[in-house]
Amino acid sequence: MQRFAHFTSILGILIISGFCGVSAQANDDDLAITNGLIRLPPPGSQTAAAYLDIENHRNTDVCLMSITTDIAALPMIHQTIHDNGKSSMRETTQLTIPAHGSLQLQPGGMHIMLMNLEQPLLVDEDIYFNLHFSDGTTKSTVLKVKDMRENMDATHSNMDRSSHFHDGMVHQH
Amino acid sequence: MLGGSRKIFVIVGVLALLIAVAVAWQWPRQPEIPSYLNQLGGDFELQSVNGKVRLSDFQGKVALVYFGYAHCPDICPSALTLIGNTIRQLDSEQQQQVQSLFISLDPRRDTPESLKGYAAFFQADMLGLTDSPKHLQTVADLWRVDYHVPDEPADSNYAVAHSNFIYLVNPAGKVAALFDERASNNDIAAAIVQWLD
Repeated sequence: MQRFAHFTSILGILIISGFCGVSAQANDDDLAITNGLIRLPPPGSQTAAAYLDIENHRNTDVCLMSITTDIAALPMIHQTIHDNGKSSMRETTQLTIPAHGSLQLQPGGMHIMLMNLEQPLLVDEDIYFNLHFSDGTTKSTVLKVKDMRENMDATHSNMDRSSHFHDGMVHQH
Repeated sequence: MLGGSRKIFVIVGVLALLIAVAVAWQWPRQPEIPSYLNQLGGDFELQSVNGKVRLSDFQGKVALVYFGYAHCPDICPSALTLIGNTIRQLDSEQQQQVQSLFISLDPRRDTPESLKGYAAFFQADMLGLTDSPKHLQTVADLWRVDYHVPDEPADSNYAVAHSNFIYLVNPAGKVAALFDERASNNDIAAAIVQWLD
């Protein structure tokens, strides 16, 4: 009986490690974090979203287990679900990044939800994040706060009835 | 047999009719509204920081209406950013003819006061509106907004599931188009311009 239990637990570990790679990798460059940013939230907002892509150049799958940062106590990865016009969020843990594949956390899909922000976020500010993976690897990355509004110089308020001459330049942020 | 003056009348009449038909044929037609949109929308009155606001206050303009909540990290900021980017790509005269409205379905956390700054971040004239849960439900039903506010305390960071549509309301106050998360600012701007003078 004991031998059977021992066997199934080893099998269990092997199965889990097939989904989330548990063996430590020597090469630190094999997980790349790209296209990262934090969406600048409205002033006074305590919630923000961060986005990034993770590329797995390894021969094995690996799982993103958690994320930590100084600016929010418990960042959570959320999946936005669009279902017949109704949208909602679902917390997702243990996201698998397939071998030689990638994971995208981008607007309208998955995102890192930052709640109860410890500090206001400023445009172009660099914020450090640690991504913790299933094999014990931690990757540090820096995400910049980005203002995702466009053409802010082209604002013509209905309140602004005076003939304001704008220089006609469009500034892309 | 028609008399001489009557003949002239008939000829003039036929000519006038032909001209009228030709002019009507060339006259720029208003865009068609898909029939499935006839069943939703309608005037509403909600609270802003400066008092009551009615949709009908903006008759003569195109209105862009979005239902969401301010504690939303991804969907609502995406949609409201899209609305702001769309309006800003119009020329200044066109911008004066468009009004954006953000309606929060979450009055437990969003107040008319807090919504003023929130909305203005996305577009300078965007109005932030909310009301009692009961009244919001009435308006949401008319606009076919499907949503659920969990019965949880304000500090529990709950999420509000909600329909994710940008409603385009024409100058006559009718919902003329719906845009979802796949829309681009060019799609919406093109639709707005069709309804402007």
